[in-house]
Amino acid sequence: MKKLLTGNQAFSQGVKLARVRVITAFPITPQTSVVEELAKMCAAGTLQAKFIRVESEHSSMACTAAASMTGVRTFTATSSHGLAYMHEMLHWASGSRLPIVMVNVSRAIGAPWSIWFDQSDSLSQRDTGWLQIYCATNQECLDTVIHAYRLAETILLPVMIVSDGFILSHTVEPVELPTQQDVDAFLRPYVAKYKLDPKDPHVFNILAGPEDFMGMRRISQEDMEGAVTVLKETDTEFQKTFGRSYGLLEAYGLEDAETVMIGLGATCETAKDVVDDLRQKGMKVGLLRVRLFRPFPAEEIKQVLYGTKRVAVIDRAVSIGAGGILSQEIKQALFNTEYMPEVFSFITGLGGVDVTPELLNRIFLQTMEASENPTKGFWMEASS
Amino acid sequence: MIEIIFYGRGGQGVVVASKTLAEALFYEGKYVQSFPAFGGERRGAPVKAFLRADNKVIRRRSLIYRADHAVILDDTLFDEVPIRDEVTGAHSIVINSASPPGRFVEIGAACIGTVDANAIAENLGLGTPVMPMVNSTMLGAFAKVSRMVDIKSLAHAIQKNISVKPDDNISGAGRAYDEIKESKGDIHGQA
Repeated sequence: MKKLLTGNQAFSQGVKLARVRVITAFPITPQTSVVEELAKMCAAGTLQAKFIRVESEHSSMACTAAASMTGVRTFTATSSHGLAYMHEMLHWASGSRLPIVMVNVSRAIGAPWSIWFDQSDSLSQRDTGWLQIYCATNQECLDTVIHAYRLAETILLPVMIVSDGFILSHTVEPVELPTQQDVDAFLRPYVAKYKLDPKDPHVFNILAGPEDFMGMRRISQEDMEGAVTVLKETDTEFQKTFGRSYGLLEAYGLEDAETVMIGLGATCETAKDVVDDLRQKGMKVGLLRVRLFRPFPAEEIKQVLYGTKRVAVIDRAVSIGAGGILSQEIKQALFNTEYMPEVFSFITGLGGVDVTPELLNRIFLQTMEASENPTKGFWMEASS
Repeated sequence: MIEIIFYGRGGQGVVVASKTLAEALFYEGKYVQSFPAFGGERRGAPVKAFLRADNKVIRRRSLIYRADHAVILDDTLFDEVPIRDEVTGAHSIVINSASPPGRFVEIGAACIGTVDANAIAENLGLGTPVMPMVNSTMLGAFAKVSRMVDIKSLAHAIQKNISVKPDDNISGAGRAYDEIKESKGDIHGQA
């Protein structure tokens, strides 16, 4: 059945269908309506979950992690400053190997104050040991929640699902609601291998000596890399069950493309229209949407970009003093490859600057015509 | 693809108007995308909402800067917001105003309609006399002038999206549909 849903409502429906048992909540724009909707479901009894209102995002993640340690499926959602405030506990969740799923509805981080979209919140948490998946449509928001639990509970690492604040979160569009029966077939109840149980006492996270500590970090790295294979396999099953799949990357018009735009999230949907326009004019352009950002699918990116001459990266987050974050990752993935396209960084859309088809069109043309490639990237501050 | 802008004031139900029309078009098999102008909403301050409709999946996710159709819930907004820049050349514009459409012809649109939605809303007890709720009433006006959506689909969508006095809201839409005065112009502004 298709319904009109906002991105945030799509997330809430996904959480309900995934039969989550503990939800922790602290409000922050533009995430708030995700947990508001879940609160209503819990109050109405349509979702049998414990809904815990906490006093901060730091507590929210601490509480989610503790609940996850008891062997139940857990969820929380946040944005921007809330995610930044969780930073310490994000490490505790991943280090404890807890299959938490969290939604981050992206928003710029102050100062100055901003409520609008960019990706500096989630991208600045890229080193916390969480998987990161970026969504481009409300349908993908819903589907990814269901898929993320399967993934998290298979590899025992937490997953952060990222959507574009307002652009997806507050936008209504048609979304196909999967049946509970199909979701139950794809996502079985979570059975924890290790859990806190008063009848069978265990301890999580005692002091670890140097060798034990370092060995655990290596295992996390190996398991995180293994997520690529798990995601590919479960994606096939997702496709069979629901008739949709998303993969690690989304390639659009890449077959013979000489100039390729790369981005994260819903900006890439707008870019598809631009690719179609330019292709009609005979230009060999394409689009690559990076859906899985952690683990970063470097091998797959290398393969799909083989033969590409120039790459335009849409950077909606910047590491001040180093440059666009996504372009750094792309450059690293392509480094030391036999055939390396030239990578141009376009820093744009910060703090809610509207990324229009006209702007993306300009970025394509500038990439094709550029005679210099500044290491600090091109700053594109105007929408039109 | 058709792009529509709704103009109103915080508290007038501008976002609900966009969502409700989206729902009505969705019933008629269209792909739709409805979203507010992103920002903090304050009661009485100018606000906008957007709507896209198409026969295929809508991928564009930027704001709308040029409207194919416009719905204006308060005619005093013209003095405060640069509406003209965004609606000149539109196929249709419907305005909540007690003035005849001729007053707005210089905007330059294929068709301009005005209806005293405040009076209809007040008469039906929608909202308060200080701030009548005219959103569903104006959708009825839009249905007539734009010819984009059937009034029955609209009634169905109002029933589903507006929880306070849905039946009176449907009546308001019906009355605006019947009462709106249209002025056919060309896009250069001659009546």
